[in-house]
Amino acid sequence: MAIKIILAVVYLLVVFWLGYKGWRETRQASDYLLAGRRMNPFVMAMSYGATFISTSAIIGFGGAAAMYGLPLLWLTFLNIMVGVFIAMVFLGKRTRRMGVALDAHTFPELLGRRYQSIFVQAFAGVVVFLFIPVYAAAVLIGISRMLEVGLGINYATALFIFTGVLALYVVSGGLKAVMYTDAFQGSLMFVMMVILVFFTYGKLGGVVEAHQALTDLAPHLPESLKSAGMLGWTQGAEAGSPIWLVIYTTMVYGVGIGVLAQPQLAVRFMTVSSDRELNRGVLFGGVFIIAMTGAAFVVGALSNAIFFAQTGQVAVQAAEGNIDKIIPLFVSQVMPGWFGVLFLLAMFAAAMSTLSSHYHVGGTSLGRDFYERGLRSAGNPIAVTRVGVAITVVVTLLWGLVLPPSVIARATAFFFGLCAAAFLPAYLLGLYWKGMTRAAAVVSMVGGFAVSFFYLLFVHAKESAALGLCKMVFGVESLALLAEKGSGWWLLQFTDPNIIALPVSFILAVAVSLATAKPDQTHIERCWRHL
Amino acid sequence: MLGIASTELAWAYILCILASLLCVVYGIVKWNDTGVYSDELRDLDDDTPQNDRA
Repeated sequence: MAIKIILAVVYLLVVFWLGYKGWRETRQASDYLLAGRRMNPFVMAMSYGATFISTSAIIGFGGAAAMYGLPLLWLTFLNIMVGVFIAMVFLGKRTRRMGVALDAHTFPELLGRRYQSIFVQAFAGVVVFLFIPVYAAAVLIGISRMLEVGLGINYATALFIFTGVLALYVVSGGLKAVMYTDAFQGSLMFVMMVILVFFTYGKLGGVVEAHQALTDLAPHLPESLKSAGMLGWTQGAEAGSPIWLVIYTTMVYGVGIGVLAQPQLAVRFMTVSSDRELNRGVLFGGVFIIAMTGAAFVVGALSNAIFFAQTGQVAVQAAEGNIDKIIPLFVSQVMPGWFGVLFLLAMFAAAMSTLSSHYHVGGTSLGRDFYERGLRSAGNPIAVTRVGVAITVVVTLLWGLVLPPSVIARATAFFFGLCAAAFLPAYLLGLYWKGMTRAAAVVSMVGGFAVSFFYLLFVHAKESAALGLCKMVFGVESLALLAEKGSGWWLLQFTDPNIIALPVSFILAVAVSLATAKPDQTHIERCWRHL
Repeated sequence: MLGIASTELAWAYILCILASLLCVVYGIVKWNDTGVYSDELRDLDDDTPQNDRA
């Protein structure tokens, strides 16, 4: 216990020193909102990666990989190709250049100025501010539970301690403090995950041997997974089965594509001074992500072979059905004692780097996009945004006290999906298509958001059953249950909202653009000035 | 392939590594590529648009 406390104190001292450095270098609004647009490429890429990868990607989705097996690697592939390569090369450079041309300081502000619409900026700001605390709360719950188990601190106390530490440096130091601490935390996560994956392969005798041991475990697949269409951890799932739909539409497609329209990630493209930093960021980001989700998913899946050899049970049985417990259990039972302590710190780092960015983007959305621009209220921009960040911190804490503990992976998929439906067409087409109009952006954002939200409330069974509104209004937990069992309509309850909402949002964007008057050419030329 | 029963999933494993390598190669090749308008972009806070409307 003494070693745990000493390491935690050393870790916190480094974090506070970096937070102090960020605060000291913050003099004007662009420092607080965009880290002065002069960020080092390594810091930018590590901050991007560490924000992207939270405890939910490692603990929640790592646990999901223990249950569903290697199909989750398609998500890692998308994380690297879409989340890093396409995001930085095809969106990042244009985002940065257009951001400078329009002097945008936040993601909603970029959309608002591209479409010359205060409504677009305020709407995007409100969506981010309202929903990011739910995603943040899921991360906060996960890490507070680990703090409770790892250091024996009461859960509610852990929530308050964690929130207090983060609030101190995010509120005071802005995006510079967030990104400096992210880079340190990302480095720690990287080292721990590399050790974890090498140790796991070593324990099973090598890469091919480990995979073969997992392949041979297929006859021991739990009956509940088998009946839902799963064939094995390296065999995958039967195409079109309920479990296949969950894996490929919600986890792989929903999260893999949703990353492109994440405000807390897109804003990082505007923190660097030239394309060179983004080019270098692609290198750091590509290596970082494979060491994060790639390692977590491989270790999660392989944990079945190790648990089975040790206890005769596969991972989900060893964790008594709670998939969020699988990775912590694996670390405590299989890994050496010294690793457990450092892994706990790495998970703190993963949670803190994601949470700090959520607090910052929630605060800028409320302060800059909604209060300053939407309500046209004047004030000291840094002070207004600091108040916004403080409010986001408190709202997240309140969600953390009321949400159930098993929401980690679902809340991540929920936020990623909602952002994609609401923002992706307006963002992507806004960067690439001069004919995309203001009316189209408004209709696409509101329409995409509405369809996604309706689907979550009334069709997608995981959420609609939990929220209960569908049952109250229609007497069933999902409208899909009214269809014949096994039919295409019935399967919609397992299908991610964005299978429907994202195409609808894109169709609305294109159709309305073609039907409305072309945007003002002088403004378009200003937007495209640097492209 | 690689001890993985499904060929599709073996490809997922290989493509993860190839995608990561693509990022590394791209980063090295473009290490000093600042882009066409780098000098102009360094002149940051000018020309703020004034014609935003609701």
